[in-house]
Amino acid sequence: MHIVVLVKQVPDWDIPPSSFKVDEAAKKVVPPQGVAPVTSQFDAIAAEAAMRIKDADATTKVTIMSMGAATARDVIKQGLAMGADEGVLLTDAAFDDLDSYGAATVLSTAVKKLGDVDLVLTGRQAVDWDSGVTPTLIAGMLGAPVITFGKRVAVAGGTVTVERVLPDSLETVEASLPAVVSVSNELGEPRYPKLPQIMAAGKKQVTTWAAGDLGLDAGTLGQKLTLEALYVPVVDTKVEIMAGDTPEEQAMALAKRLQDAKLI
Amino acid sequence: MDFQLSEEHNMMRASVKQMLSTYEHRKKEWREMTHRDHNFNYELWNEFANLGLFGCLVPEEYGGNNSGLLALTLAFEDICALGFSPSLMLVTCMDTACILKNGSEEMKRRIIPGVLSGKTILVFAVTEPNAGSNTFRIETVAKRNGDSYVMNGQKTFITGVEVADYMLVVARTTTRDEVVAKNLPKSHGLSLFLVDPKSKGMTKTPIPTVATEGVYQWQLFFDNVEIPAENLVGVEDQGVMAMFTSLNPERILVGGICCGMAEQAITMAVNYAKERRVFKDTPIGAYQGVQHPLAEAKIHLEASRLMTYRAAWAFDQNLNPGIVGNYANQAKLLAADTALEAVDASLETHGGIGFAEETGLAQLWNGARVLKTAPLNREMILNYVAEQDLGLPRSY
Ligand SMILES: Cc1cc2nc3c(=O)[nH]c(=O)nc-3n(C[C@H](O)[C@H](O)[C@H](O)COP(=O)(O)OP(=O)(O)OC[C@H]3O[C@@H](n4cnc5c(N)ncnc54)[C@H](O)[C@@H]3O)c2cc1C
Repeated sequence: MHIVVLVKQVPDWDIPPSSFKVDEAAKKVVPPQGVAPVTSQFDAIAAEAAMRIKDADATTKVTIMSMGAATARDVIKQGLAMGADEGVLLTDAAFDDLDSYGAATVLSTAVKKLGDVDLVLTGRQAVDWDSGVTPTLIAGMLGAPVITFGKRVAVAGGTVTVERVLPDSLETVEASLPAVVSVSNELGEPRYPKLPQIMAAGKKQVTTWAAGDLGLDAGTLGQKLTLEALYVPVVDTKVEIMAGDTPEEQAMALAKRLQDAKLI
Repeated sequence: MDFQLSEEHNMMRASVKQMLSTYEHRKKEWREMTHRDHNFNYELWNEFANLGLFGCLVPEEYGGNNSGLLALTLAFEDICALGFSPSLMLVTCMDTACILKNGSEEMKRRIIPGVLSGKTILVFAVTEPNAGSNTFRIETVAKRNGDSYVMNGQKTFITGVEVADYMLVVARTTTRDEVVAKNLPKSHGLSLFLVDPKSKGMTKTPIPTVATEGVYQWQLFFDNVEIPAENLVGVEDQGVMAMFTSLNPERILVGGICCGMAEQAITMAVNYAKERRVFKDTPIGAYQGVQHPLAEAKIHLEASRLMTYRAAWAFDQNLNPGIVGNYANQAKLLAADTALEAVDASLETHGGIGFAEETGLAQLWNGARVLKTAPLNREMILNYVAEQDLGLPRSY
């Protein structure tokens, strides 16, 4: 059993909103100063799902794959320290600022290049852009079934069984392998690596592939999305104090004001 | 020159923080348990072991992870910054370093696995009623008698004996009079022993103190305590050098603790100063009278970190113990001063509420204040720097 976990490095979301800045002219998020980027929250949970499968069957091989800047090595290392076996970093100037379709093209090509992959695990969405379509696009490109929002993922005899989260219930779905499964936070907290594993991760191999290694170039990535504008919406808060000598008068004034504003 | 921490250091810090975050809701209960009731926190101790912190200084061949003293120092800093306590991990790890460097192969195989799994707790016993800053005045004696040594004397202010499996005890195997009579160097005649606190002939009385968490300080009496000869750590009479293999990490780890305490105090003050409004709608954090002491403490914290990390790095690089000791002492002095400065500024920022038990700031002040005096007081560090670095004459 060979599992590939796709992890994305994103700006730390746990920063005060005032530290979040965008460059409207360049249509880019400005990385917060002095705050190291982190593993996208749901992707760490995908790594946890892979490790649980490996806990149950030690012969399982887990590869952590990330597309991004050279710093994405850190999120691969994090997965290796959790117990994964190998890492693959996909980095190239042609991979910068790709939309979901372009990212899925690169990732699915790299999964195909690995060859013997049985299961691709991803987070339900990356917490930077929150699109949540990449897992499905990858499955389409690989010609494999996809199951999204996994709460529990188990494999046995060429089948993956996933308990998936619906808005008001759970359902259990099976698919034949190879398959793509995205996981949700209901799966549980990712484990934290212990020191011996962290030290061992330093000795594990991370392979780096550029566009040329995958037979891709900027022209073949099939961008589908055009970013028109990027800005932080302005949220304006105004306070009005309702006049009146008694609570009843104030309540009447409030009701009238809400009616005038067509809110009730 | 590279000021970057390694990937491993960053990951380890993330794991320490993640582990501790799962115990955030137990902090209040634990503070009561350790500060008020003086009960040892075995649950957190086991988590430290589970994370692998006891293996930082231990080579892989003995089951450790060999991540080094800098890694452990960072962990100590983060533990304290988040309001938890490394407790006896300080003495256990410094003793471990000493055993690894000086102990016999048999001793390493016997003791280290228990340390790594969290089962074995070690403490350190050097101070005596007449020998604090001046270790050479130690009077406790250990006399060889066949396959064992017989120990007589007393120790004081020994932390954590009630939960310890072994104490690393410094005792005389050659008396001071003999050293003088034979014209031997004054460092001659001290030896280190692992002593089981439950040995026959050992008695102990607690010393009520205000500043320690989860453990007591003890006065110990050794009355013909028999110690198996295989519990001698290193070479008889040559214990001084062996002792320094644990004192250097001790001071560096104290530096880490102090940096963490300072960080905790500053963070608490900043959060409070952003919210607290006293005049009109201006948060007190906008007043420079409030800002400047905190900004100054922050600058001193950065300096303390750099010195502490350098000392830890020098230890990990196996530099000459004299050089490491000098770095370690200086880092300890600055970090302890900074911790006090930061807690004091935080108390001032909080005003009256700072003294309410729920903030924990007054306890933090006690803890930081101890570290100015123990394990090595400011004056002895200044003496050392004045003599060794500045070449000034010795007065004592
Ligand atoms: C909470 C706590 C826990 C402790 N835990 C342990 C432990 O686990 N194991 C252990 O062995 N010990 C422990 N100690 C003891 C501690 O290491 C000693 O208190 C410390 O080394 C100082 O020794 P002393 O108390 O005898 O002070 P003294 O040596 O009597 O010195 C008193 C003061 O005199 C001044 N002074 C002394 N000599 C000079 C000089 N040459 N120049 C200038 N000034 C000087 C200093 O200001 C010093 O603080 C602990 C102490 C405390 C408070």
